[in-house]
Amino acid sequence: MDDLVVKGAIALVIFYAGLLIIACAVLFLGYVLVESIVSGNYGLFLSIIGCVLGAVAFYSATGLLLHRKGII
Amino acid sequence: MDNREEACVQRGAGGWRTNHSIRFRDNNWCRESSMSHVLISPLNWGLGHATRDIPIIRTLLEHNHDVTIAACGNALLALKKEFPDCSFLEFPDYPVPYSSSRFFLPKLAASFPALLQAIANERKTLEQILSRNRYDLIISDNRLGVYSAKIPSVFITHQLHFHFPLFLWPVELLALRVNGYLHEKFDKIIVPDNPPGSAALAGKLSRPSVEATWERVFFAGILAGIERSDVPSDLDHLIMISGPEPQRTRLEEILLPQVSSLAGNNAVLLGSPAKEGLRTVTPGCTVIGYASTAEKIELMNRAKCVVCRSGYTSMMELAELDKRRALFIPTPGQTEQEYLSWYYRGNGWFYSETQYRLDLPRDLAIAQTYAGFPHMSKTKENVKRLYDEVLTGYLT
Repeated sequence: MDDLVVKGAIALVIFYAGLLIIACAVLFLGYVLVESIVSGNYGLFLSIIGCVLGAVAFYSATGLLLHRKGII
Repeated sequence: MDNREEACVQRGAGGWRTNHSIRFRDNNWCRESSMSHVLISPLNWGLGHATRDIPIIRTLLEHNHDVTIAACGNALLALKKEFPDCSFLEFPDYPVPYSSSRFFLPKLAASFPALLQAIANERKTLEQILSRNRYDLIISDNRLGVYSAKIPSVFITHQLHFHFPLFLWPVELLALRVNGYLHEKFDKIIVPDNPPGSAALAGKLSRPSVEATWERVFFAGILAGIERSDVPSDLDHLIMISGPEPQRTRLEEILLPQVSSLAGNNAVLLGSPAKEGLRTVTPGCTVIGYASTAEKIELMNRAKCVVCRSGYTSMMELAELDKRRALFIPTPGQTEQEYLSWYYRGNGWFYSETQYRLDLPRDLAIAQTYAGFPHMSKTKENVKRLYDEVLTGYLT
């Protein structure tokens, strides 16, 4: 089989698997957040929210930095 | 006399060289043929790819090379009309991932398997084409699977760098690597744009970012399928509605009611093959359902100000005609057009507005204050340089 097609198929499998993992992680995180509120574990809830906000800030800052440096 | 043509393809330090000789039955080499055979295959996503290949095909024919055009759909029809004496092959390409809504990217991501299947089919069809005929050079205009390890292959693209919304920056980085891998399959990457810098028409889109691309890239300058002509500039506004449906119809619905409020002599091209023959003339405005290429070129030459989508081919055409006044309306969800509009506006070259916020009289007044593209070399000069510095290295 053609090299381009084989590598393309492998890349697609990795790409969709990545999307699936991200979707599962988001669902799991949502589930843990709801669980923590229902069980009254506000410390866990705030910790997860803090981590998510930190990750979003880091992600956004990296994107902006790459944009400012002209890499993207 | 029973002649036999033999071709010898060699790849040396200076690149590929093809030598053709006609040999008679007694094994005497008699004369060298000046003719090479080029397979050129543009992508049929709109007519832009076919249009920008016109000056290249014309130059190859002027140098007595044989040209076979392998394409499909409207691209094939347009090139058949332009070059009736060339050989043509029906060569299907990829499904267009245009979306009817703003959700272009999710639809694009979902269309990847179909795209890969189409590339696999393209590779198989190309092998069949190459087994039936001898070619000395393959020119692929944005068709990823049109290359051969045995025949010199060049790739024409203005998108070395795909633009995504900022929040998708990891996808943009990944796309750079994928692009680099694809470019390795080709001997040369021809970019129809000026080198990166203040006169780059495609901005970051035509900026190489990986080594594999840098090693192969040749900046040809703009390549437009139209020429400037000496006609009076008697048309105040030329409004060109084009692009994929249903966004073309949506733009028509937005623009047509606003055209009547424009002063002066105006023309509207609806760009709808279904409305071919429609011509409505009212005082100050002519609406044409579908204009021939010749008529469109004439109107563009006559126009003082052009309103159109910000597709890259249209940009090259405006640069070729030295148009200084234009208003761009990017197709919603098409990241390339959205980026180009933003880039031109930021550079102070041309004003743009989304179709959802369009107010034609107001936006055209703002558009008058922009400077237009900087001075750049034109297609005639560029295609000569492309032939002399790149293509001739692969041809006899």
